[in-house]
Amino acid sequence: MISVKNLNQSFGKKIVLDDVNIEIEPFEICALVGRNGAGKSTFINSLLGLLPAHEGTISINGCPVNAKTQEWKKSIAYLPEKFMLYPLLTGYENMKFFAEAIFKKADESRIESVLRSVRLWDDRNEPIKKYSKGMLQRLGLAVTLYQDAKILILDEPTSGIDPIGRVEILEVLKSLHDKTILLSSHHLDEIKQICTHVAYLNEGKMTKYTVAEFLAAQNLGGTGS
Amino acid sequence: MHYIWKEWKENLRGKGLWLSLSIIALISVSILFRSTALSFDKGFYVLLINLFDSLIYFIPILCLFIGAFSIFQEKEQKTLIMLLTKKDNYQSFLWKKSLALYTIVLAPLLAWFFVYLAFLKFNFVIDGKGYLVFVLSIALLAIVFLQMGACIGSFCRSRMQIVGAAVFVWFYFFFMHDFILLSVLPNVSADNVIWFSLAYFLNPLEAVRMFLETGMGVYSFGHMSNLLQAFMWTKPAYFLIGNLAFWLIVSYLIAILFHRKEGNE
Repeated sequence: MISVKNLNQSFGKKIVLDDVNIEIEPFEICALVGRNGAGKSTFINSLLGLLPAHEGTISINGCPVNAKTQEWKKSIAYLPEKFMLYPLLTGYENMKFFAEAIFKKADESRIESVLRSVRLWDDRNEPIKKYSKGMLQRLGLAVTLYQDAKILILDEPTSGIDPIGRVEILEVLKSLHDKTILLSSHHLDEIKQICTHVAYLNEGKMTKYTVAEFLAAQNLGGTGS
Repeated sequence: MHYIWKEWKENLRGKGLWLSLSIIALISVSILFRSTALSFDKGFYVLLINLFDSLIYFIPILCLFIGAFSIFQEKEQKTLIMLLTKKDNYQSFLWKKSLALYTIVLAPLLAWFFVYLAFLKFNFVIDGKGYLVFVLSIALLAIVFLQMGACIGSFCRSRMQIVGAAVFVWFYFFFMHDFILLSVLPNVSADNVIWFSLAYFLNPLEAVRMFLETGMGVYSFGHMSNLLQAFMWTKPAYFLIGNLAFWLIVSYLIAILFHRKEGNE
């Protein structure tokens, strides 16, 4: 589903991604883990085609990621970290704008079903500047879910959210059985709760583990293999 | 169309656009009050030239800020990156966003000057063509500076950078451009006046002003010296069209080449 081969990225003399190879299979929920500055954002930007690969290849759902083709974009939906959307528009208007920007025409019934799935239908007519951080994050998820992409790339979806808001986000993510998800996270508990795999980025090198393997490898109380 | 709809809703609920329009409306009304002593048949032209001379200080800077902050907010709110990872690339995003900006700024501006015309009717003999030239001048000035603003918003990484760049552009076209031309003026001759003319009309403020003042019959090009004739080698409208095309294309290209996808703040 996501295939990265021999990916190298560097800024000047600093090597950020050093010969990264990873395959993320369909329906996996893979956490992207690494210390601050480890290169998680660089990796995500490479996957999204925002940062052209210096060396190596990336393919999404079998389509190569490059500037010439747009086919791979259909398979992914991305939710950045600390996004705000349009604060002066209502939740519904935000959804409608993204639906029209991406598909030209908004499907009203689909907007309703997606907003209901993230439990924001009742608040749809409130300007989102009045939303709590958790509600805003759920709206962001709704925007990505509307796109019906097979792969979701979520950059710290629970960052800065209170415990109740986090539980609500995780509930939504758990319910997405038909998606392949790559999410960057610093929270071990949420990795344990919802992820099947971990892509660990350390000093430019990436290693893929099952969650149990990762916990064991890091001496964090899991069962190793 | 959805960009226009979104931009309109945002600006309708925000303060920036209304504050800018209030400034323009306030200036227009105060100039009208000051012009009530002007003659009924000729006062119309004097008022419009005075109004233009006052608005020319505000419209460029307001449009620079509106254009720049509108683009920067897309970066700050991360909506730009969300759009770029789907169907849009930066060229198409900037194109749609620019059209939306023109629409939301020009629609209320034109509406205001339509209302303003009603006030003028009570005080002066109206020249419809002259008023059209005036409104067109204001609209084109707004478009050029909105696009420059969008360019500034594309490459700046923080609000402070935007303020600095917008003030610099405003200052350059108001003062520095003329100072530079003044410094080369002693060397202008019939052989090189065409280059001087090109440089002079590269300033949108001068191109718009010449278009407005000739359109209203303030200047006559009937009895000019050879040097001035060579300086005005084409019609003011063509200078303005050329200027508009130049700055729109240059601003658009600079924005595409040097844009940054995320803001720091």
